[in-house]
Amino acid sequence: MSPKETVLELRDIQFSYDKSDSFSLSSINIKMHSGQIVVILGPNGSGKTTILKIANGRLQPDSGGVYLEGKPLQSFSRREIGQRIGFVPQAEKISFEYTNLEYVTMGRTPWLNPLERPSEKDIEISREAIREVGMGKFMDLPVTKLSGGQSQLILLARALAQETEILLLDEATSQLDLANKRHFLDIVRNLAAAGKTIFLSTHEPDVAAALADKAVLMKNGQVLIAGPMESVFTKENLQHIYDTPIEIMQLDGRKVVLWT
Amino acid sequence: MIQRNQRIKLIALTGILILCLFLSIFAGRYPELGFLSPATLKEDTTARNIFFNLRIPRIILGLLLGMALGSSGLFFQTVFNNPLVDSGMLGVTQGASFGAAIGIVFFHSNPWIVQLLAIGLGMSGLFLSVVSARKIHYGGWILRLILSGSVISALFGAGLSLLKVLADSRNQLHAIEFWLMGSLGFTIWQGLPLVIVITCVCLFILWKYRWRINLLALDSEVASSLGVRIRMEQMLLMTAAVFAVSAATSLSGIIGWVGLIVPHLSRRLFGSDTQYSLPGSMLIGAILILACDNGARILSPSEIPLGIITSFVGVIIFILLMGGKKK
Repeated sequence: MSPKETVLELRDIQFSYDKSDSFSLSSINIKMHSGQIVVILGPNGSGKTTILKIANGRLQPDSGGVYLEGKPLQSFSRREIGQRIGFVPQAEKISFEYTNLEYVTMGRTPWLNPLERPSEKDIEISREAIREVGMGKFMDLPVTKLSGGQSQLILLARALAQETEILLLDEATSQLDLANKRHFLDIVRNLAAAGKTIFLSTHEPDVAAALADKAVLMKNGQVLIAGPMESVFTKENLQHIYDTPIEIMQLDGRKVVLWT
Repeated sequence: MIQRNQRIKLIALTGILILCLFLSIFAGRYPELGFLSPATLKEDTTARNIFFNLRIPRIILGLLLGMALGSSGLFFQTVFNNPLVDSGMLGVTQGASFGAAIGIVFFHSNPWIVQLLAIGLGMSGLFLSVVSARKIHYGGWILRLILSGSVISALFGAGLSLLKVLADSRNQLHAIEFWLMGSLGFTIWQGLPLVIVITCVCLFILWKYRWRINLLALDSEVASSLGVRIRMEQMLLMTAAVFAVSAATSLSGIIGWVGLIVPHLSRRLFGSDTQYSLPGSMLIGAILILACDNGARILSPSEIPLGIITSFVGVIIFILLMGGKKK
């Protein structure tokens, strides 16, 4: 696939959960090509998660459509979507003491037939994914014993084991400490450098500043502005979506967001 | 390495189960307390009659019942992401009890009718729970299922109480109470072939899906993103789990605690991966039922209902397990 080809596109999306509900999304247009990191930035409740759910076909838009590799998303089976789009949630509650390896191996599902069980090769791919997020020491530890930040790394590992071209990350850095956040962002950058398409939602402007090629700024279900980072990520735009005074500073060529 | 260990454990459990089967076949109270020798079996027609027409069907039912209760318990705990549920959720147990009581009160305890009503109303418990869960506009799918399951259970429970009031207190009430306690003591060949077919098909489906059941423990959002058609797979496996239990309990009556406790034992032994803990649950369930039933048959001359023994044993194991966990 050539690097500039659009792999995932949201076209004229309108969506509301319920007719009586005041929340709705309107006129969402986002195009992503391979190797690109697109960040949706907005305050809590602005519709970021809803957009990700629409992007992987969990929610049907009222009008408009999602296009994967140029074809409507509905023309793909659930399993075919699973082979192309990975999803990393903010957190997942599990009551059973699955080991990290067992848990991450479930990421291989879209590559298995319904009655097939993971092979030695699938397990090796999962081990590699766990090492890649720096959790190699915890291979056989139960997922229930992990801290919030470690869980987020394991959730990322599961999506890596899924080996998809597109990754959707929903507030996937919210509980990471400084070192792990840096590590997480490095992994995401490397994935993009390797040609994967990253679609990440966050309420933290710093994460967007550190990662995004393209940013989509949202407020109340509306896209305020979308485009290349340099033109979108301005003091005025951020103040508008967060309704609070903000300063952007340049530090060694990096943008740092301060609130005052 | 891990896989090899797990397989060895499964083979060891299979060995214990076979041992239990032998014990169940040959130990008993005829002609006296002890083992039935092949020589007696050859000469004594009563012994042969007991052996082929009472013991063999009883052991087959016990085996299937234990496997069905163990695996469906594990399945439901995994799907509901909750280690404290079993197949009695979703109105199935209460539905089956209500059905059996109808058969006892209105159809003179005709065994065929009691069995079919128990299976039919047990399944309708599942059906009604799912239908009414769809109508609830509140919470996630699993929460709605649990909620509607307890409502349907309450409905059938009320019906059961009503039938107890209507029942003739000398014979019918006693029969209902005995059915609710559960026993393998009345097992004969009649009705058993149907139970064997249904249970074996359902257990085979669960066994085939043994790894994939893991995925139903995940958030539906995640499972779906992994390419799982959750509703469809959930309904298929739920039907298999409930059908297996309904069929087996239609002949035995309610057997408590096995579906709850066996999955815990299995997870303790095999870990949470259902690829191993599901077959483990089947084996442990069968071992537990057969061992308890041997106790029920052999310990006292007047048989103690199996359901009472499994409840005692279950509670003791549960306390031991919970107590052991902190160490």
